[in-house]
Amino acid sequence: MLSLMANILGPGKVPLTLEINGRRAELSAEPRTTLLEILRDHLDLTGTKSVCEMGECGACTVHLDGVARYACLTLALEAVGKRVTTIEGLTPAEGSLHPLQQAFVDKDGLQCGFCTPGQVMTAAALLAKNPSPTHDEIRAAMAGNICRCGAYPKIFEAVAEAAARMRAARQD
Amino acid sequence: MAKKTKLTLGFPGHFKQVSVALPAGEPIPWGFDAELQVVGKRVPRVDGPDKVSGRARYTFDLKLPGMLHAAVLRCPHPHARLKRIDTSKAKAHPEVRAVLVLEQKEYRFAGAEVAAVAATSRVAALEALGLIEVQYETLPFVTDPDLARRPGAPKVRPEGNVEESLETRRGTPEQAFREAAAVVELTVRTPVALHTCLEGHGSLARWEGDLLTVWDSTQAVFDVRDSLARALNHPSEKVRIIKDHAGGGFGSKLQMWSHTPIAARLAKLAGAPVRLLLSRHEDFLCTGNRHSSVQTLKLGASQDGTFTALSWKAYGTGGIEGGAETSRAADGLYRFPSLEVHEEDVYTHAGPACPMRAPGHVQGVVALEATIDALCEKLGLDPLNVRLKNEVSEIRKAELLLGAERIAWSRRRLSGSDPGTLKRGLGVAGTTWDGSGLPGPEVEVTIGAGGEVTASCGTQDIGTGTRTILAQVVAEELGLAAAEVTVRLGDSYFPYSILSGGSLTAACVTPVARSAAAKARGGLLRLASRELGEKPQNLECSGHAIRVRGSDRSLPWGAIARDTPSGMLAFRAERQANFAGYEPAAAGCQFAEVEVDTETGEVRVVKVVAVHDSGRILNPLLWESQVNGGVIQGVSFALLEQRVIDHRYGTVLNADMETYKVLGALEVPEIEIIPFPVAAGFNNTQVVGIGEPAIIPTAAAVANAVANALGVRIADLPITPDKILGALEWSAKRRR
Repeated sequence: MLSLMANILGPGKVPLTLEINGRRAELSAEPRTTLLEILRDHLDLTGTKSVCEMGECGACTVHLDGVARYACLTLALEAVGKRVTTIEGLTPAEGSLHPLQQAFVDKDGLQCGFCTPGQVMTAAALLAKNPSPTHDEIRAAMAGNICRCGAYPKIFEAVAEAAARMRAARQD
Repeated sequence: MAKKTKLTLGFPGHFKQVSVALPAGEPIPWGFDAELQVVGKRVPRVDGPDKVSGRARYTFDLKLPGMLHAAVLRCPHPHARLKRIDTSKAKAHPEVRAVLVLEQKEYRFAGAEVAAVAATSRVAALEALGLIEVQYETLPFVTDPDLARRPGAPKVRPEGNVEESLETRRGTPEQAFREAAAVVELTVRTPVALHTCLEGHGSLARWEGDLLTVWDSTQAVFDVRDSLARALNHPSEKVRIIKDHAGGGFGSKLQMWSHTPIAARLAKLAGAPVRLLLSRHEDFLCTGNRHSSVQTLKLGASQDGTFTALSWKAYGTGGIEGGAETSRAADGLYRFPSLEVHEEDVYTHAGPACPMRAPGHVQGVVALEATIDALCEKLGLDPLNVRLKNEVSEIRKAELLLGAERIAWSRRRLSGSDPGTLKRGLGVAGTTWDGSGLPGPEVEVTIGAGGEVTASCGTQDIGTGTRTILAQVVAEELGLAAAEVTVRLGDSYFPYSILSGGSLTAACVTPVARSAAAKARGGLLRLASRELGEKPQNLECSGHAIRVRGSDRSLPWGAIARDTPSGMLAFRAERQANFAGYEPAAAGCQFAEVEVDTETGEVRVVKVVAVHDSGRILNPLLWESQVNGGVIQGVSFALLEQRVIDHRYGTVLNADMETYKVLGALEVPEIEIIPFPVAAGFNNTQVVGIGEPAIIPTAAAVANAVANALGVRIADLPITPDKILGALEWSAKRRR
């Protein structure tokens, strides 16, 4: 395994332009670089967490053109030409909270908080597609995000509450 | 001077007057019916907005200018000696800034540290590891605890692989077993489990002259400070440990692990800050686990189900560490007039165990409660009635009755009698854990020139909500909202506190926070009384000011603070010893309902009812989260979790999150939480920790429910489909 690692720096850096949270980022990175590495190491967008690095836990969930994706399993090159949204870009104004984020706080849909940005991003993709999810639909949608603290019951509550608040806001 | 005070302790229907000696200056404990404004309310966690927005910076998120990235070369063999190591090629790598060889006499598990490098990027550090040439002399090893117990097994320690850890005896066990109307014996096995905190272990070390600052994902800034000072032979006052947010711990971050001194030594060598973050794979191999157990329990009882004797013989492996105890739950749940305990640690060439949420208790309660159910089967008695008959706690008796009603225990069938292929079952188990707190921790409350209130304490918030409950308690005492108190923690430069573990934190730090805030209120009143020329009893403290009762005269706190030479008022208190408690520990119980698919062997936990006492509940919203977390981790332990070692090679097969499974959203049961408030005594907020109590009974209740559903018992955790199908086949054959 170590001999394979001797070449992990790859064939060299390539230029890369990504659109992240509505801003263009001109980057230079090896083709093997994941979107997760770009976000955390190159751009210091550390809200997206790195946990399992194998697409099992969902802590690195971001949106590509509004669809939830594991950033650890996405090469940065795959994100070229797509809109990348991270937890930092979920709300237009800095300091404000998305209804989902507010509901996670109000319902305590978190404990240590390390999985929370990923949970919020998965839930946001769900609500964009399905504004009135049933309890079972929420559980199914959140099944790709592990919370070791076991905040699930309140995560489900938070997602349902945010959906209700967002529906109410649209009707106003 | 201590002062005698009478406290009313207990719970409705069971109150009693207890005379206690309160230490001098100790606020009078809040009584059972105290009308509080902030404490006891569903206050959302104060760091919630930072966490949900991704702004909260964890150790894994920190960067410093000029920071280097470290990686560790680990021994691939379970037992080896270093024959030769050549780091010259790694040192010559253009991006490498420091290389460290970790001299050890022997490497005693696959994953032990051999060398480390610091480079300008993580990939360069990994690449450099591949350039280190190592030759090992491999040595005989043993990773299977049953083999390690045999004479002639390869030695993990010079003293031998088996060490007696616990031996107790009371009453007359042999006679009691002889005279018992029924005796059952059961052997229960539990696997090694992994903490799996989502933020793994990592340290960022920076030297400024001889001052070493380490940002570390830890549950114990002061313990890490002292261990690191010892490891580096450096004065502890020149070591500062900081942990702002931590992504879980569950016991795996209570101690310093070797990555921390490695980061510090590399930083010294390189003359630059070094960040060493363990990969998930490394985390699973090297930074602790829940020890395994093989427990043989023998229980004797009279015809009516009164326990007469218990024998508890157990061993387990914590790899290269000891501490594999399980029998602590022999006391505190049920009465056993005669008791004999014999426990052994078995050392193996595997990664070290360390405390994991309710260490020993989770495993022990599985075995104890299973044996009790086996006895009930034999005597044809109802498991709930037998527990009530032998129960030591008045609190838990009341909880058992409450929980039984909520799970509808009366519908429990005789074991194995549910017809059809989907079989339902019910199970129950109890919990006892002393999280009443310890003396020693300190809190400082300051009033700034703008009247702002800050509470500082070197404790840690590992996700339990310590920041929030500290803010609530200080706010309560000073007449503020929780959001008006800034809490600073997670820094060994702050006033001393103990590690965040053992369900001790709330009961350690909230009473002393209250004492410090009470001192602050007293100090403000005293200073204002001088300034305003009014007697303190004519003054009241509210809304960031001292007001004269019945007039509009007032003095803002900020003005009082500005009037001092430092422009700030500081009040510090130290946590005093516990005074009397109503019962010696927190009591709780859980009921589980399961559905077992006898065709696929799958278990679905349908519902868990969790009834828990933890003294005063400071914040029901956060408290419920703790209980949910305990139940969910308990179900996960019962059904899914097990570290698997290939004993032929001595290496872990599932050191990743794909093959080490933890419970996910689809498997979470319905959880009904029933808080059982008790005027517990012990300390001035009367809180008792809930972290461990919430996980202790879950796996036991689930295992008992599965046995009730099937009519056969899976005594080997985790309860996986293969074991269920195997047990059903075995019992069908036996019936034929």
